[in-house]
Amino acid sequence: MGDKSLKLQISIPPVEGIEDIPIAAIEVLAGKMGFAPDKTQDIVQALTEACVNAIMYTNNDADVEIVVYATHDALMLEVRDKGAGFNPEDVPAPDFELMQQVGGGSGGFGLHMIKALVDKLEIDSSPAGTTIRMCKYLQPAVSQA
Amino acid sequence: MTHSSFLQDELKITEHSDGDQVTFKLNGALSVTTVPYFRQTVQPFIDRKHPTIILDFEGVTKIVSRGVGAAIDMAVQAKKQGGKLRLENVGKYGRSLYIQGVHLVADVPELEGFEP
Repeated sequence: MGDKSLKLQISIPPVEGIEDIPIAAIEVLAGKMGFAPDKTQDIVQALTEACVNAIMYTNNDADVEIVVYATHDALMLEVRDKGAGFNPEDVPAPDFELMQQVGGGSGGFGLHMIKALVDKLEIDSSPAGTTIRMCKYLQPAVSQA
Repeated sequence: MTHSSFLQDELKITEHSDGDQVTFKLNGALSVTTVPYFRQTVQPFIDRKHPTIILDFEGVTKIVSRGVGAAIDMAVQAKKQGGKLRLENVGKYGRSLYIQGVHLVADVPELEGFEP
C-alpha cells in the first residue's frame, strides 16, 4: 500500500449507544497500525466523546458520519453531524479551582478531554452542522518535525 | 435524537458494605444514559454522610465526561461533609480521569505520581 492512505467512512443514526460499533472497529485499526495500548485508549476515548456529543446535539434524524484516514504514521478521524452547530470559543476551559468547590456539573470537559488526548484538533461548526477533526500520530515528535 | 432500548448503554451496580466503608462495583458504561441511575444509587450514601465510599471501576466498559462529572460532583459533596470518595481499579481510564481532574477531589491511588 506504501504511502497511500486508507479511508473508512461509517454512518450511524443518532442513537445513543450505537457509537460503540464504529469505535470498536477503529480500536482494532489503531492496534493493527501499531499504536500502543495507552495511545489506542486515547483514540477510543476522544472518539467516544466526539460521537456522544454529535449524537446528543443532533436535533434531527440525520446520520452522524465518522470518517477515518489511516496513513503509515497517523490516524485522522472526523466526526460530522448536522446539528445546530456551536462556537468552540463559547466553551470555557475547565476551571479546576471552581470544580473543587462546586463539582463537575459546569460541563465543558468533553472538548477539553478530546484536546488533551489527541495530537491535533480542529473544529468546523456552523448552523449546518459540526465537524470535529482529530489526529493522532504514531510517533508525535518525529511526525511534527 | 432517537433512542433505542436494545442499544442503550447499561450499568449494573452492586453494593457491599463493610463497617464505615461501602463499595459500589460498577459493571458497564458510565455514560449519559446511565448517569441518572449512578447518581440515584450512590447519592443516598453521600446524603447519609457515609465516611468512605468506594467506586470500583474494574467492570467499567466505557466512560464519558458527563459520567465522570457525576463522580466528581459526588466526590466534592462527600468531601464537604467530611467523607471521601475513592476510585479503585481505574486501569485504562486513568489518563482520562486525570485529565478531568478527578484526583483533585477524590482518592485515586492509581493516579498518585501519575505522569499524563
